Amino acid sequence: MCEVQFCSTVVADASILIHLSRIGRFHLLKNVYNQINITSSVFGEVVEKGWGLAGSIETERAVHESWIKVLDVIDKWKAREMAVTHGIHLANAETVQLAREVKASILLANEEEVRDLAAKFGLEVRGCLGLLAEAARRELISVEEAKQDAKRLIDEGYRVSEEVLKEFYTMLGSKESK
Amino acid sequence: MTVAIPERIKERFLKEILEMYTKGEISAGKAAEMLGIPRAAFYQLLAEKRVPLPEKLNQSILKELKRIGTSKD
Repeated sequence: MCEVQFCSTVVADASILIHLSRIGRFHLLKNVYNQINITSSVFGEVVEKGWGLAGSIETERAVHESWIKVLDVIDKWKAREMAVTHGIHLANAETVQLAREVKASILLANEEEVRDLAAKFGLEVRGCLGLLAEAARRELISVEEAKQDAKRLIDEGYRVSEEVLKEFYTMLGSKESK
Repeated sequence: MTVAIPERIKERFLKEILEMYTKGEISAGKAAEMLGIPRAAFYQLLAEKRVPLPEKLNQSILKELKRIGTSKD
């Protein structure tokens, strides 16, 4: 009836919300995944602490429109334990724990420690470039736009290496020819 | 009581934090917390100072792109 990812449960961390907002592509979250879940810590970080900065207004509006849901982690103790065991930030541990609790099929994260831990639990991880690739694949944006967006991400502080950018271009190119 | 911290110490501190971030020793969330600024302000700093992503993160993104490049269609 619908594409797998369209119906899947998705959890996002703060970095995704902020970076996409910085390049004016926040709406892609809704277009690609329909519904996103975040922890209350992420909401606090992006909207409350970051009020007036990138991602704050967009996130608040999305929560108001209820396509972003703010959820509390049920097992807070588990999150705390993960934070201590793996030596990571509590908010990041909570994001991974939430993804496990809602049985997320995709975790959107740019923070290495979130990605690393998520992979250990077998969660599928996507970063900003992965999301842009997915948007291009579904023709929500053109290949050319995806390339422009990647360049803007770099200018806006998401400074990936030349090697990564090249791989991204190659990937988009191979999709285009299909 | 408030203590005024000299500018040069603040700058030095910022430099150290950015270095720790780019070496992958601390996450962006932790770095922002240590600097006492919101996460979005930290990313703004990364943009202004043209700080590269940690190498481990680059490798992780590369792996992700290679995986989705081969798994679709």
